[in-house]
Amino acid sequence: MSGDEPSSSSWTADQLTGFLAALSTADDQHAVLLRAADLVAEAVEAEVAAVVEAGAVSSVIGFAAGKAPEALMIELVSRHRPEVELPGLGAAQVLVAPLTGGAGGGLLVARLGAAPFTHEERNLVRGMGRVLSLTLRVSRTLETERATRQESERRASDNAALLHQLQERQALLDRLARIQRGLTGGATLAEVLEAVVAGAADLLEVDVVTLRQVVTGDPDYAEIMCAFGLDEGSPIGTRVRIGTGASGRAIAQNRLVVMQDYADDRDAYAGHVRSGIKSAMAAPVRENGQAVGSLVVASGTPGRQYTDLEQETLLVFADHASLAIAEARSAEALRHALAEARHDAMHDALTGLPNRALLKDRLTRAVKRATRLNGMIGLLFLDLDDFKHVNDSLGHDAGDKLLNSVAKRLRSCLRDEDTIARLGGDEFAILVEDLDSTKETGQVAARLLDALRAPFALSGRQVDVHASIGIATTDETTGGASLLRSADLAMYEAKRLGGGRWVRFEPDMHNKSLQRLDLEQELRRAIDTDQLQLHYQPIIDLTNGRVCAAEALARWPHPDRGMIPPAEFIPVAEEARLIGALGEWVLRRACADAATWRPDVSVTVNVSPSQVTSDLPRLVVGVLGEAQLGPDRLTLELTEATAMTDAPATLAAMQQLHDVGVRIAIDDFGTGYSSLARLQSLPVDMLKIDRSFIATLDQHVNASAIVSAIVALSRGTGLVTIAEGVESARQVETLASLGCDRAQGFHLGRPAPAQDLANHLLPTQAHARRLTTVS
Amino acid sequence: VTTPSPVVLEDVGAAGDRWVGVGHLGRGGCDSATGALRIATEGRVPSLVLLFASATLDIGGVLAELGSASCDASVVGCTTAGEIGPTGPGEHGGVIVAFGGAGFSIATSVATDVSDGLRNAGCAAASGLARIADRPHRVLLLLTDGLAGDQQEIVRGAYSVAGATVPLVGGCAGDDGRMQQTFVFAGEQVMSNAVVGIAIGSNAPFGLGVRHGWRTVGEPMLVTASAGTEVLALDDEPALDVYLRRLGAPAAVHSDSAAFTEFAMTHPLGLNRRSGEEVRFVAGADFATRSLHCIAQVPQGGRAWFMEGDSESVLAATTDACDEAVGALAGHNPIALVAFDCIARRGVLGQAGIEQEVASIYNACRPASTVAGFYTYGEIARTRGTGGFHNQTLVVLAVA
Repeated sequence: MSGDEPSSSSWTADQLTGFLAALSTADDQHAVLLRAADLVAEAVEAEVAAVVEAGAVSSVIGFAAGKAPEALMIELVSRHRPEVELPGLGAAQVLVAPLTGGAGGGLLVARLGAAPFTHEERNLVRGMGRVLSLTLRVSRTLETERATRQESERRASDNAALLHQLQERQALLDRLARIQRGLTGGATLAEVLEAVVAGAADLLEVDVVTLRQVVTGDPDYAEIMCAFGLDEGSPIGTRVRIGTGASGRAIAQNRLVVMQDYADDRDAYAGHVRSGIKSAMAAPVRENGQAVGSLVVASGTPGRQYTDLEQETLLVFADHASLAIAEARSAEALRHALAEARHDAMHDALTGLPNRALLKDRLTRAVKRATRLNGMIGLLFLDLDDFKHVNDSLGHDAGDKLLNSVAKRLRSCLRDEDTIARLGGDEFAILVEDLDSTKETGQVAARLLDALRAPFALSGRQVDVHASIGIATTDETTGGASLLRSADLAMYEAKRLGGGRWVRFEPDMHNKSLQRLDLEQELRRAIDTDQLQLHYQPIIDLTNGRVCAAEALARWPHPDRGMIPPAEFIPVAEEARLIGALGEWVLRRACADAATWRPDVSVTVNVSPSQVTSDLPRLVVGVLGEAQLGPDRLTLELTEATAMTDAPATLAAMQQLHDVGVRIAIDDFGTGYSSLARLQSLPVDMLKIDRSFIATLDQHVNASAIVSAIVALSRGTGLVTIAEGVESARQVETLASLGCDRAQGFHLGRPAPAQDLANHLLPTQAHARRLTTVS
Repeated sequence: VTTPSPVVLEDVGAAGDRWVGVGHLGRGGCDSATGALRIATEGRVPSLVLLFASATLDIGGVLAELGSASCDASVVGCTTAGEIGPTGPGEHGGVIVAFGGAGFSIATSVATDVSDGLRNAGCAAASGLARIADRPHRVLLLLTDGLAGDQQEIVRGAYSVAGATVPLVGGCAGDDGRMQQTFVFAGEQVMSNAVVGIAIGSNAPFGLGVRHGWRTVGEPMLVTASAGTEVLALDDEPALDVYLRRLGAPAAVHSDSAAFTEFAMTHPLGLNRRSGEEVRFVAGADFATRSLHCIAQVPQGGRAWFMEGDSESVLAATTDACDEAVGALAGHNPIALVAFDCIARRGVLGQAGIEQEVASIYNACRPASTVAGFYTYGEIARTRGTGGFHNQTLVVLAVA
C-alpha cells in the first residue's frame, strides 16, 4: 500500500477526532473559529479556508491580513460553485460544508490548482463541518452559561435555586468533556454511547433514555442499542417500526421531535401511553447528514415540559453519538483496508504464495518451536536452472505463466502444513517442520524435482524446466536466517555441479563462499583501479607468415597470490555480475592499444554470452569512436552456443555489429553441434577451429578430415578459418596445406604484454619478418 | 571535499541591484565577527545581517561587534546545532550572511513570550510583510525557539498574516545538540521563547525546496491509541514494543534513554498524508508506559509507518531540494542558497556525509557559490497548502 495516494478512507478517518479534540480545547469561540480554518486547510492541503456564519465571515486564512475578499467568501458559501478565480492567487477548487444549527453558514476551503477534491476529502470536510457545528453549539451553550453565571452572581449570589442551576450547567459541561475524551481517547463505541445515554438521563432528569439505530438491511425498523430506565419488557435489540413514536418520527423526518403531551399526540405509541409515558422528545443521530438512528428521552412525570435549553442539550448529545458512530465506521473500514494490505504485503502477487517476509516470520517461529520441543526443521532453497532462457526467448509473460505453473506443481507435492514461499525471481523456499530425520528432506527434494520433470506447455511449446535445490536443517545450523543462508549456499553448490539436483548443506560451504566473496571484492577493486592487464597472443596469416591480428587475454596480477589465470577469475566475474564491467574494460583497453598498432593488424576480443545484449552495439561503436579505431580492425569472439542462439536480442546485436563492420568470430568451433548450413544464415566472419582437432592433427586421420571439411566449407561460404592451439612446425605445415587461413598457438607466439610484441604490432617496425617463435 | 572560499561578489554573488555575501566565523574562517562581516560585505553597505552561531560563542560580544560594523542594517539570527558556511559544515562557529543592494527591502519583527500564545506570536513575526508590500517578490524568514511549543501554531499565525502568496521559510534554533535552551537574536538582544520574523522583499523571485529522504519500513500500522504527542498503541500493542521489535533495535535501546534518543533520531515515524508521509521525530520513550513521545501531534486512528534513511537517500534528498529551490527561480541564477538542515540528517550522514552534502549544495548554487545555513531543531517551509512545519527535513531557500 502506497502512502502517496489518498486512495483509502484512512487519512480522512485520522483527522476527525483530532479535529474535535483540537476544537474542544480552544479557549473561546473566536479561537474555535480560527482553529477550524487552520485545521481544515491543513487537512486537505488547501491554501484558503473560511468560516461564514449568519452572512458574515467569522474567520479566514489564505490572504494577507485584512485583504480577504469577504463578499466573495460569503457568496461562495451561499451559492456553491466548484471553481473560482481568487484575487491575487488564481484558479482554485472550492468545497463548502454547511454548518447546522444556529444561523447556518458554512465551512469553506479553496485549493489552488485544477485538481478537484476527492471523495474522501469531501467526506472529511463535511465531517469537519459537522464537528464544527457541534463545537460551536457547545461553546454557545457555554457562553450563555457564563453570561447566566455572571448575571446570577451579580443579582443573587446566595440564591440556592440558582446555585443548583449553575451546578447543573457545570455537570453538562463535565458530561460532554467526558464523552469527548472517550471519543478522542480510544474508548469503544459502546462505551461512548453509554456515556451519551447516561449523560442525557442524568442531566435531563427523565425516566427513560434510549439510543436506537436503523436496522442494517431492514430500513423500516430501528433497534435499541443502549438504554437507561427501561423496564424488563424492552431489552436491548428490541425493534420499533420507524415512523411511529417520537423516535421513529425523528428518524423519518431527520429533525428534533418534541411531544410535550405524549398521550394526545397522534404519533404516540400505544404501549408507551399504557406504561405511563407523559412526554417525550427525540433527536436524530446522523451519518453523512442522513438519520441513522435517534436519541430519545421520555418522562412519566405529569406536566414535564422540555425547555429550549433542554432541547438544545439533547441535540448536542445526539450529535456526539453521531460522531462516535461515524468514527467507529471509519475505524472499521480502515482496519479492513489494513488487513488487506497486510495480506498483500505478506504474499507474492504473481503466485499468491507467501513471500520472503512471511517465510522469515514462519521460519523464526518454527525455529523457536523446534528449539522448545527439541524437534528438527528443514529448509529447501529451490532455484530454476533455465528460467532466464525462458524469459529471454519467450518473453516475460511466458516467464510469469511458467512461474505460476511451477508454483502450483511444487505446492501440490507438499503437505498442507509445509510452507512454500516465492522469494523473488525464480527462487522458492520450502519450510518443512516436525522432521524425524534429515533424510526426509532429501525425499521432499526428490519429490519436488520429480514434480518438475514433465514438460510445461507454454505459448504452444513444450518447455523443459530443471531446478537446483539446497537443503539445510536445524541439525547443522541454527537460527532462521542462517538456515536460509545455508540452504542458499547448498543450492549454489547444486547449481555449480550442473543443476537438476539437490545438495545438502555442509559447513565447509561457508568457507568456500567466504573465499569466493573475498575474491569477488578483490576483483571488483582490481577492475575499478585498473589492476588488470591485457596480454596479446599473435595470430599469423599462414599465406605470408606475418602477424595479422592479436587476441586480447585478460590477466590479473594479484598482489598476494601472483598471476591468477582467467579460468579462475572469469567464472567469479560471471557469478558476481562483474562480467559486464570486466568485458567493457577489456574492450576499451584492447581498442586503445590496437589504435597504436600497424594498420594491417586487428585485435580480437572475447565476449561472454551475458554481454551480448541490445546494449553491446552502442558500447562497441562508442569505444571504437573514442579509440579512433576502424570497425574492421576489431573482431569479437563469441562461443558457439552464444552465436547459435534463438534469442532475438542476441541475433539482433550480432547483426548490428556486423552491419557497422565489426568482425564476428566463433570460438572453439566444432565442439558444439552446430550445422555449417545454419552458420550461413548468421552474421559471422570467422571460425576458430577448436584446439582439440589441432592437437590430434598429426595422429588422427579423422582430425585432419574434420579440419579439412571445415576449411573447405568455410571457403565455400566466405568464412575465414583460424586454427587454435598450434604447437609445432608440423601442424603449421599441415594447416597451410589444408588451406587454413590463419593460426595461433604457443609455437607461433605465447600471450605477452603488448610492449613485448612491439616488433610485430607497431608501425615503426613495419618490415616484413617471418615469424617462427616468439616466446 | 573542497568548498570554495567567498567569491567576488560583483561577478556572481550579485544580480544587478542585489547582492548576498557570506563569512565564516571560527573553524577555518575569521577570528572576529567584524572580519567575517567584512568578507561577507566586501565593503558594501548591507541592509540585513543574519547570524547563525553556536551558543558556545560570546553571542553578546559578536552582536555588539556586528551592530557597530553594520551601519543601519537589521542584525538578526539564532543559535544553532552547527553551521553551514564557506568552509563547509562546522560546529561551535558562526556564519554571517549579508544581504544588500537597492533591489532588496528588509523589515524585521520580534515576538517574545511566545509559549503564551504561539499563533499570535506567528502573527506578530509576520507583521513586517506589510512594510515591504511594494516588492513583487516577498518571503518571510522565521527563526524560532523550537523548544517553546508547537511550531505549527507559529506557522499558522504567520500564514494568517502573510497569506498564500508569500512563502514561509526558516528553522528552529539549536544548542549544539543539548536540547536545553535555544536563542534567537535581534539587534543586541538575545532571547529564548521568542520568534524573529524577517520579511525580505526583492525584485527577483525566491525559490523553496523541501525534502526529507526517509523511506518507510515494512507495513503500515494503525495508531490505535494516542494522546496529543504521545503514541500509546500501534496495532493494539504498546507503541514502544512495536517500535523496538519492528526496527530490530539493539539491546541498549530497549532500556537506556540516551541510547534510545540516538537510535530514534534516525528512525522517525511517518504519518499518512495526502501528499505522502509526514515525518514525525520520535523524541523519546517512556519505558514504564511503553509509549513513544513525538514533538508534534500524532492523531489516533491514522495510518503510520516507521521510517529509516541512509546516506544515499538523505544525500539524494539534498540534491532534490536544491534542484527544487533553484528550479523555482523562473530561470534566474541563484545568487545564494540558504539551507535549514535538520540535525537528525547530520546524524545519519556523519562528518564525511555532511561535507558531501554541503558540497552538493554548493554545486547547485552555480555560478554564485554563496551558501549559508545551519543545523536546526525543526524546519519551516510553506509553499502550498498551509502546513509548513517539518521534522528531520532539509529546507533550501534560493535567492535570485
